[in-house]
Amino acid sequence: MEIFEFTIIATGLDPEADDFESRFYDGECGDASVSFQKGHILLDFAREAESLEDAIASAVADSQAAGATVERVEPDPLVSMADMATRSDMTRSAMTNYVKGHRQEGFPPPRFRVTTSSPLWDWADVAIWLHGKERLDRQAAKNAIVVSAANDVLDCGGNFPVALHERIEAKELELL
Amino acid sequence: MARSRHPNKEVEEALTEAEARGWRFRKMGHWGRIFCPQADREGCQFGINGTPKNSEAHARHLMRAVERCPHQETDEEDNDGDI
Repeated sequence: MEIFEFTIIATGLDPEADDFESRFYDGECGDASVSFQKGHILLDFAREAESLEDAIASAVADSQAAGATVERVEPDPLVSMADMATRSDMTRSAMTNYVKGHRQEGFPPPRFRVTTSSPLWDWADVAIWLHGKERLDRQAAKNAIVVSAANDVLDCGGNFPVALHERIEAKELELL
Repeated sequence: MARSRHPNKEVEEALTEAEARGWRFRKMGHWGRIFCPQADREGCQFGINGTPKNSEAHARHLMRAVERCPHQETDEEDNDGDI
């Protein structure tokens, strides 16, 4: 067993209610810290589990059981150039060289804000690529896949643990 | 108004630090709740667990909530664009 840290972003409960945090602390989410910011409930988990996948799947189910509507799981898979540098422990200029193809070709294209000067990448795409270039360890790349898959599945609906597992398996085929 | 000390040392230290940064404690919820300097519906709140399962993580999460709060009185450092 290992302790996994991640944040669940949720809505659907009134923070003015006096039992707001007790729903979590007295239930199955006693390993989370409940806070409220910008109209969202933030559940910072430190959850013991066999894998990040199991930790996220059970935390999502427990948060829903406490009455919350789960919106996203963070660390957010949408990353800027600066985020990618931090997560892969590189300087911003080293990261820029990879993105622009000065060092090696084939860096994954951004997914969002593509036409702007500050595009966003899917961290799973980038983590898989960086792992292939030996700039990121396999576990970090795997975790990126799990968090990215969790957010995709939350967007699409369906049976969360089943859909999550299928999505992770499909994406892991890209991992060397 | 004096608040009681949190039974756990790490959480108590984090509470003291948050208060020093302008967060205010109110006895409610599970053990108490702490509110950021923006004390309205737009402000940040953090629910203190009176019996946290992992007190070291709970204390760290409180510090993270203080760090990510956008309503902090900004006198100690200038904004260099990180979040």
